[in-house]
Amino acid sequence: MQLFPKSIALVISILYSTGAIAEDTAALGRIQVEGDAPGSGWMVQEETPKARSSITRAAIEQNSPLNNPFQASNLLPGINAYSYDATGLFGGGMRMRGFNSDQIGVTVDGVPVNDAGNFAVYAPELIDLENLDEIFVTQGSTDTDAPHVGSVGGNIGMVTSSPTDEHRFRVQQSFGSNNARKTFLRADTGYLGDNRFKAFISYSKAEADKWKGSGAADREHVDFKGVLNLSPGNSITAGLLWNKMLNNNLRSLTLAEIDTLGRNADFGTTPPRHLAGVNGTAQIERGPSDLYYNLNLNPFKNYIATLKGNFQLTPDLHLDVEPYYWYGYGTGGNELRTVSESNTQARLGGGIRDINLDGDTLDTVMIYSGAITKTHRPGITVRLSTQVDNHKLMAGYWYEHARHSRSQPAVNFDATGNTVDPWLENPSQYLLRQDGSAYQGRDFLTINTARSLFLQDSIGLMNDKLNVQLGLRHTGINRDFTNYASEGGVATYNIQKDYAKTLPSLGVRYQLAPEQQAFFNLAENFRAPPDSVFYGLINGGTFSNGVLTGYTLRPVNVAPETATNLDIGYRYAGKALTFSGSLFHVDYRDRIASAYDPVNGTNTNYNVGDSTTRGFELESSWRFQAKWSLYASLTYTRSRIGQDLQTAANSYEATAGKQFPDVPNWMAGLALQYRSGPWSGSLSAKYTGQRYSTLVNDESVGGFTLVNFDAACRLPSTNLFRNPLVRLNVYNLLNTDYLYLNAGSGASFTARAVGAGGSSPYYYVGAPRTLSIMLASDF
Amino acid sequence: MTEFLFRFRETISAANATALVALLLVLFGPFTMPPNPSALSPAPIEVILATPEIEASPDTPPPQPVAKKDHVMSRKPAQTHLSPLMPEHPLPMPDNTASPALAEPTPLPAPAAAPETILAPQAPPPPRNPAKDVEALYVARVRAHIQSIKHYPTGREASLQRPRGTAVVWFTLRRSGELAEAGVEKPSGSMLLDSAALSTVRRGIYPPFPDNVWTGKTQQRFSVELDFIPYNPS
Repeated sequence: MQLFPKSIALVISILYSTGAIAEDTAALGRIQVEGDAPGSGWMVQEETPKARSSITRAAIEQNSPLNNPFQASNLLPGINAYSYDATGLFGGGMRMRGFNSDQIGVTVDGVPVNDAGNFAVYAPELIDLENLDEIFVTQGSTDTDAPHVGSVGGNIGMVTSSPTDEHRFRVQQSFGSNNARKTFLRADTGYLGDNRFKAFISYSKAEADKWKGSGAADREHVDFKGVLNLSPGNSITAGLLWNKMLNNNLRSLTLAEIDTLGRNADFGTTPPRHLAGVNGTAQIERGPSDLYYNLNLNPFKNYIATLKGNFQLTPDLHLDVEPYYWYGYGTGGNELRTVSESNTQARLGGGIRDINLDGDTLDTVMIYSGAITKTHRPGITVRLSTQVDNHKLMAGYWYEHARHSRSQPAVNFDATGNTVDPWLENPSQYLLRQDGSAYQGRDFLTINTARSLFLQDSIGLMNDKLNVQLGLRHTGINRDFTNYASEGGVATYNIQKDYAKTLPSLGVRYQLAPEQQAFFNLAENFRAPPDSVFYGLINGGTFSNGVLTGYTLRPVNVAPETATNLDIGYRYAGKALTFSGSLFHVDYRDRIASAYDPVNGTNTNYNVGDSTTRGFELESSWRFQAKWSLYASLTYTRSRIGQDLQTAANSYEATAGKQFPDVPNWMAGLALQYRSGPWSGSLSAKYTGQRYSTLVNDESVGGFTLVNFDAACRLPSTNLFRNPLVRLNVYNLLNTDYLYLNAGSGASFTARAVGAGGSSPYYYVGAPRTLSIMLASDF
Repeated sequence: MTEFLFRFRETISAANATALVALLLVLFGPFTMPPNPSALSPAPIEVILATPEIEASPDTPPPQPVAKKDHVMSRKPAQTHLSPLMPEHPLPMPDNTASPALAEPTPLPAPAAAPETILAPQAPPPPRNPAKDVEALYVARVRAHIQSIKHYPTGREASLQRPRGTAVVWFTLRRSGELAEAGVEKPSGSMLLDSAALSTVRRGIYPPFPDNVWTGKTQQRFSVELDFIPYNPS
């Protein structure tokens, strides 16, 4: 009798539990899989068949909230990040496997943020650290579907946070050394209307004085994200990022200047004095040798609007449609320059009108003039993924149409050293030529049409123990460059060039044991020439009636840069210990740099030769106690320049066999973390080894260790404050002295420092010990 | 009975199932309706149907981080199946909320035995089949293994999309522990998660069946629900 109810139950369960197929299935139940990073955010157990590292929120938040994302990623293997000050508001950069950030593709939420013309990346423009959930880097290889045409050294992706499921309002206020302060407000709606829509909007304002010299940084930032869930697996996400900043630049110094002027030397603080204008005599003004801090500005504003449609059309077919729009406007560097008045048909537009209004056009006057860049960049990525048996196929297309203009107007400044138009966006203020047109130190317009057609097949073999990933991308850019007649290039000319390459990649991952894997990766990378190869092509010619005639244009025969990247690696993903290591070899060909082009007999940007870089990158995270974990990374990089550098018809610099500047042989990172109840703390250190400063390796700066400390305590909630938090962050705890090379591009290294014809490289002085305290609370 | 139906598993569909159930109920119903439902153990249904991860109250959040919860779970089999002769043990569920009840021996027929634990029967069932305990022990081992090799997908797509969802994966193991086949039973809504779930299961190294479980069967089908949550779920 007792068997019957059991049989009925069994029958019922068999027939209904698995739908159409009735079978005796033993259910293991539900297992939760969290994407948390062991080692408290410093490391993720990667599985991709290529070298890759990530850092997530738990480790990102252990920085001062004013910091930029490059600073947050500094401990990752292969990364050599530098920042001009502790806050990161004034800028900085990074290198990876010897490549500079303008040779690496950077995206924010999948949108490319490298400058459309020269691939430069400016970290403080990008994100608020409070809204950053993850930074991932693929050292050496570019992802198959990544939207980059300038990534010869790999790519970096930043992922911003999604709106929270629950309604939430939070306020964070930071104070710190050098009058640093940041206010951050964020409101999350939580899920509205039966879990369909949620959004957040945040606003922040950050300010800080320069740690040396006069001047400050001022940055405002707004983030918005809205998610609409259409159905499981189908969603539309809209995002907006807006950033506006106005900084005074920090001054970089040569070693000799550091000796004579001291480490704290910065730009001049006395407003440059204009000479009193006298009609009939030439007043020749000269800018002060140490310039002026308030005519040395970095105003920049940008926004990125994104829309992501992610659709799971069938369980095996996924479609992404991701349009975006990027706008950027700003200038930087030193703006204190001089221009000369004139009134002659031998100059463009008849020459520049009387600037100091003394009645003559004989003077040379100091003015404020900066190189403006203005970019409109709409683009779209469409991606289709499908699973066919053991093949995960992905195919797609990225298209971007960038309208990139570069100009350089000039405006006056007054006796107090202030200019009416630091943003140079008011044409009524521009200095004019005799014919009424505005003076332009340069005037370029490039229409860049970039595209990438990509295909990837990820094959699972041997019960997913072996994964073979084949990738193919045909990536290219069409540059339609127009130089409008300007003081920087006195005739109008147009050049169109198309650069494209087919780039295969092969990745293999083999699971040696459930927690051990080995991987191999071979990838081709490509970087189109920057638009600077189109500058200054005019040869000869004479002015007649204000127009240049009889000139010729130099041909542009620059090939794109390419690199072949090889990784071989091993990973161990245990319960408490995670380890990843890779050996790498990079073959970097046709590096573009300024040198003497023997074919055209002139100094220009062109392909100067090849190099190889090899080394290893190790990282490991170890939770050795319930409350303690340790993260460590070690990087060895050995670069070798292939050829000598030709600098004139008969002279060469002895660069063959030398190492690239600012690529230390050794780098090591260490982070010790403690988490217990309301307390969390971390002590992190980054050792950056000795680095050369010139291509012939005749100047170098020593290695140093930068130690940072961070501690936070969550306080009990009160009626008004919910989940309050106090955080203390100390940058450069040991007050170490150190220098960073000022070489913001992979192309603009100083060839030689010592001897005739050499020039001293410039360095940014590392910031001293800097404190920052943050108070945060929900309401 | 089980084996009889098993042989015809391929031909039984839901529509036919309904008709069959109705028929069986009519035929056997009068014999099966006990006057006191609490006197009989409903546990057999729960063995197969219920997802064992049942919270005491579905609405309360887990009191501890998941990792700890599963830790408790994987320790459980060692604690609770020391003596298969303890008749008052409800059928073992790989679930931590049952653990406190199972860990302490409770005296024989106490209808109110562990009333808070929803899995515990109101009255002790007749002496259990020791093979069922061993089977549950094996199931728990398989679960613990998958627990130890589970991974959230990584890579560019996973970082940018950070999908969330639950994938139900089925797989058949041979008596030797070798994986015969695996597939997605219920997709999560994200291909990334489905393939991560499938590859987790495929990569497992499973123990051979103990002799006295699923006797006569060369293969056994299992199913597991993998619930993926990206870090910093928002």
